[in-house]
Amino acid sequence: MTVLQELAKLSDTLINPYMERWKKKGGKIIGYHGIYVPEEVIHAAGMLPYRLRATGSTSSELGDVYASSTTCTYCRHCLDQAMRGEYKFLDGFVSFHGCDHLSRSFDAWRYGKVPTPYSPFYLRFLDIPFKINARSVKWMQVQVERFKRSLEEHFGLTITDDALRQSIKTYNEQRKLLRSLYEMRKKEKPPVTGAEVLALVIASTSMPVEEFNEQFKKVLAEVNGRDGFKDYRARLLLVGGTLEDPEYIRTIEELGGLVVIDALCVGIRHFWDLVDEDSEPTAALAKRYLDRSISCPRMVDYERRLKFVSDLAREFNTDGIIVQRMKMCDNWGCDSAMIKQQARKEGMPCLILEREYLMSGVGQMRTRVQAFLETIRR
Amino acid sequence: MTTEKYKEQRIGYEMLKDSENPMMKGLRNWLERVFRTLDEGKPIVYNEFTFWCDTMTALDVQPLAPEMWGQVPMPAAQEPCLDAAQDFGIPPEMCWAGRYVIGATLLGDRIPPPTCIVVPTYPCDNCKAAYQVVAKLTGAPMYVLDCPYWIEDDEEAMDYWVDQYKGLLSFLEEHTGKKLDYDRLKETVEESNRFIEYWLEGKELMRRKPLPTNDMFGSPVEILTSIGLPEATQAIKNRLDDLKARVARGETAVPEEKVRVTWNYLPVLWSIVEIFDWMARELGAVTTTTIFDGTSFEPIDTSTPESIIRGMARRALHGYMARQGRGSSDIIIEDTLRAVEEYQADCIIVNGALGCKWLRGSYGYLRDICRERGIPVMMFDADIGDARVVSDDEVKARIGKFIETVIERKKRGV
Amino acid sequence: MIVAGCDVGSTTGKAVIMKDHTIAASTIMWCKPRPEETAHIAITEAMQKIGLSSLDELDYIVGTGYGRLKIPFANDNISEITCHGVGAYWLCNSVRTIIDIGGQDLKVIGLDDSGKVIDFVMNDKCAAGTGRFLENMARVLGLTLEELSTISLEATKPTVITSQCSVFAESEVITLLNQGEEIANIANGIHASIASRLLTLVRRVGAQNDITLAGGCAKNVGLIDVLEKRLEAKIVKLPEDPQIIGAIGAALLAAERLERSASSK
Repeated sequence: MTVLQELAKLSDTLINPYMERWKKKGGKIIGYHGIYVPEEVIHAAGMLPYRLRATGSTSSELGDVYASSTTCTYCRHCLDQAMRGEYKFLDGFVSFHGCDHLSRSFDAWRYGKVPTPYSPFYLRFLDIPFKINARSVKWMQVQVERFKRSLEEHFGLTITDDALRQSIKTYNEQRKLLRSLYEMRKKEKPPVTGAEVLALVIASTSMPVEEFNEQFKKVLAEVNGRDGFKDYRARLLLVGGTLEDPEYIRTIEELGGLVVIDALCVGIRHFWDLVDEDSEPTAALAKRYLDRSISCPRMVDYERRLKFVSDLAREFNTDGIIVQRMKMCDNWGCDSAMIKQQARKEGMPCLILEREYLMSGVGQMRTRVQAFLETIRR
Repeated sequence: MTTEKYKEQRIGYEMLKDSENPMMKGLRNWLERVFRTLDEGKPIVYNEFTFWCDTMTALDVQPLAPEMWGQVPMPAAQEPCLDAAQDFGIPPEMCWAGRYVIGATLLGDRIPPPTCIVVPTYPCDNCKAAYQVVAKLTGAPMYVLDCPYWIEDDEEAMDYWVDQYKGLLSFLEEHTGKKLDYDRLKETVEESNRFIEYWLEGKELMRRKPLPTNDMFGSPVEILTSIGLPEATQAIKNRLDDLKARVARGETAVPEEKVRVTWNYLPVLWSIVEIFDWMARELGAVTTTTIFDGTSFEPIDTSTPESIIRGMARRALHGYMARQGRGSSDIIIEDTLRAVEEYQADCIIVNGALGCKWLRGSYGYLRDICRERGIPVMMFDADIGDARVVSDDEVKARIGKFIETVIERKKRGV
Repeated sequence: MIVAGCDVGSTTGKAVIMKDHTIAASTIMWCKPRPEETAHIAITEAMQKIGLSSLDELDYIVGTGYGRLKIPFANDNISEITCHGVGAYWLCNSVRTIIDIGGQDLKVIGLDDSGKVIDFVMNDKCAAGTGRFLENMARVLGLTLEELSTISLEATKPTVITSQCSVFAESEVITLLNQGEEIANIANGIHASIASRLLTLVRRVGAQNDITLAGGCAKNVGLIDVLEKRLEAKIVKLPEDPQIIGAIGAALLAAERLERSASSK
C-alpha cells in the first residue's frame, strides 16, 4: 500500500491508528466543526484538533429526536453519532454559529442529551463574526483569546505565545504542502484524482499535524512519480459545503469528469490561506481565520467568494463547474444559484446537484452528471 | 410613474382605503408614503422585517420592509415571486420570505428597487442569504448589522453590536445623502419610547382573564414602517384607548373562554385573523400572544448621543423574532415559558413553519421541557407564506383536535 | 452504414435501426424485469423487421435510458437527455424545448439554436405527474389511458387537485368521484396537476419555443390541450412516435461515433 493509500484510508473511519496512538500516550482530542475554529489554539494547548464528521453513520433516528425533518442531514447524522456515544473519544467539543442547523444541534450537547466521557465536559461555542472588516477582525481576536483562556482554565494548562507561534508555523507548513499538491493538478495530466484529494484533506484533519506533514511529503514524492490522468472527458471544479465521502467524487470521476480543483468546505476553504507568522499570534489567527480568500457562504462577502470561484475555474483550466449543495441549506441554496448565474454569464457550463448526507439515488446522480459532461463534450 | 408598477400593492392600498382597523390604517399610510417617495424620486431603504425603522425615521428616509410589502396583496399574487425565485435556482424549502424578496427583485415590477439595503444577521440563515442575492441582483449597497450570538452580560459583545449601529448611521448618511441631526434623533427616539409605553400597557391588559379581545395586541406594523413619527404613537394610543374602553365595558373576546392559547410562530400568514376568529368562535379558544411579541422593553435614555445609540442597539436585540433568532434555544424556551406564565395560557400551539429551520431546530428541546412541566403543546407543519403547501382546512382540523384534548384535560384537572 | 439506438426505460424498451441516416425499423415493447432482457428483445424485434439476424450486422449501437449500463451489446452509452435532444432536433430543427414524461420521471431539456443541450432539469424523486401517476388515475376512474386522455377534452368545469403527492392525489380523486363530480372534469384536473408540475420544470430551464413532447404521455390529447393552454404556446408534434425519440437520438449518435472513429483512423 502506498503512503497516499494509507492516508486516504483515514477518511473511511471516524477514528484511526494515529488517533489511537495519540490517546494511548495520554493525548487529548478536541473535536470541532467547520473552518472557523482556530486549530492552532488547540494544538498549542498540546491537544489534537479533530474535524468532526459523521463517518460511519447509517441512520439518523436518534439525532432526529432533536432535529426536525427540515434540518440538514449532515447535522442530523452528526447529532445521531453524538447521541450514540460515537464521539466519546473526544475530550472536548468546539462549535460555532456556522448556520442555524449547526447551532441548534449544539444545544443538544449543552442540554446534556449527548453522553460524554467525563463531566463537566469541555464545550465551547465560538462567536464568529459574519462580517469582514477591521472592527470584526478585532472582535474575532477577542474570540480567539477567550477560546485560548477557556482551554487553559478547563484543562489547567498554559498556552504561551511561543507555543502559538510554533503551532502556526507547523500548520502553515501543512497548508503549503497541501497547496503544492493542488498546484500539480493544474497540469494537463493531473497526477491525482479529486476523490484522492478529498480523502487526503480529511486525513489532514484527523491526525497529528506533525505526522501528517511528514507522511505527506512522501505522498508528494509518490504523486510526482505518476504519469498523470489523460483519459478524462472534462476538467471540473467541484464546489460545495461539507463533503466527507470520496465515493461521491468517484461517482463523478468514473463518468469522465476529472475533478482538478475544488472549492469545498473540506477542501481549499479549510486550508488555503496562511497565517502571518510575523504578527502577534492571536491577531494573526483572527485575521487569517476570518478574512479568507474564499469564505463559507455563512459570511456576507458574497462578491469575493463568487469572484474566487470564477478565478479558480480559469486558473485550473476547467471545462465545467459542479456545485453540490445539501438539501435544506439556505446558505448554499442561495450561493449555488448565484454561482450558476455567474457561470452562465461567463459561458462556463455549470451543474447544481442536490444531495443529502447519505449517498442515495446514485443512478439519478449519474444520469445528471453524464448528461452534463455530454453538454461539455458529446 | 409608479401607477403602472406595483399593481398588487396599489390594489391592496385601494382595498385598505376604507378600513377602520387601526393596523390596516397604519399599513395604508405607509403604502401612501412609499408611493409618494417613489413619485418624488427620493431614496427607498429596505429594512429587513425584524429590523425596526427608527433609524430611518430619524433620518427622514422612507423605509420599505420587503416582506411586509409582499404581504399586502393576497397570497395568490405572491406566487409568481416565489416561482421566480425557484426558477432562479433557490430551493423551494427556503422560507417564503427569502423566496419572495428574491423573486420580487427578479421579476422587476413587483417591488421598488432599493437605494440601499439594511439587514441584521438575525434571525436566520434565510434572510442573511436571501439579501445577499438581492444585493447582487440590484447592485444596491447593503449594510449588515453583525449580531453576536452570546451578548447577554457581555460588555465587549455589546460594544461590538453598538458599533454596528454607529456604522449603520454613517452608511445611511452616505447612501441617502441625508445628514444625521442628533436633535431629530433624540426626538424620534423619545417618540418611540412613548410608542413602546403604550404598546406595553396594551400587552399588560391582554394578560387579563378573561381575555378582553381576540385581536392580539401584537407587534404593531408601525415598528417596521413608522415608529418615531407622532402619527405612529397616536395610532397605538388609539388602539390602547379602544382596548381600555373594552375592558371598562367588561367586554371579552368570547362569551365563554374555554382555552387560552399562546403561539410559537403564527398560523399561516394570510388567514391569521380568520383562524384566530374561527378558534374563538367555534372552540372558545382565545389567542393571547405569540412568543415573538411577549418581550418587554426598557425606555431609551436620551440624555446623550451615545446613550441614544446604545439604547437603540440594545432595544433592537429584543425585537420581534430578533431576540429569539439571534441566540441559542435558551431564549426560545425562556420566552415560550414566560409567555405561558404571563398570559396564563393553558397550552401552546406551534406552527413548525417549514422554511423556518432555526425555530424548528429548537422544538425537540421545547417539547421535552413542556412535557416535564405538563404544558400541553401541539406542533403542526405548515408553510407560513406559501398557500399551496398545507391547506387552511388541514390546519384547522389539527387545531380543533388539539383544543378538544386541552379542554378534556382541564375538565379532569390535569 | 447501419446503426442502432436502444433506449431501456423503466416502463418500456425501444430500439431504432437507421440505415444511412434514415429510420429503417423501430420497436416499442413493455419492459421485462431485467434490462438486459428488455434490450435484447427490443433490438431483436427491430432487426427482424428488416431481415437482419445478427448483431454483427449493426455497425455501432448506442444504449440510453435508465437501463443504459445494462445493455451488453451496446458500443457506448449516452444519457437519455442528450439522446432526446439529438432525436427531437433531427426530427424538427425548430425545437428548443423537449418535455419528456417518462414512466417514472419527468425531464425538461433546453436546446440552443444548433441543437446542443444547454440545460436540463429532472424530477426523478417521486412519481407525481409521470406515466405511473396517469396509469393509477385511469385505474381509479375505471378508464383506459386512451379514454382518460380524450374525456378530459369534454370538461365543463376544471377541477383542481391540490395534493402534491400522487398517493394523496389518488385519495382526492376518489373523494371527488364520491361527491359526484363529472369524470371529464376530474380527468381535466388530473392533467392540470401534471401540467403545473411540468410548468415549474419548464420555467426552471427557461423554455423557448418551439416546444415538443416526448415519451408515452405525448400521445395524451387531454394533457396536450391543458399544457398548450398553460404554456400559451402550440406544442409541436414530431413526425415519429414520441416514445422512440430517445432511441432515434441514440442511433444518430451511434452514426456520429462511427464517423468520428473512422475519421480519426
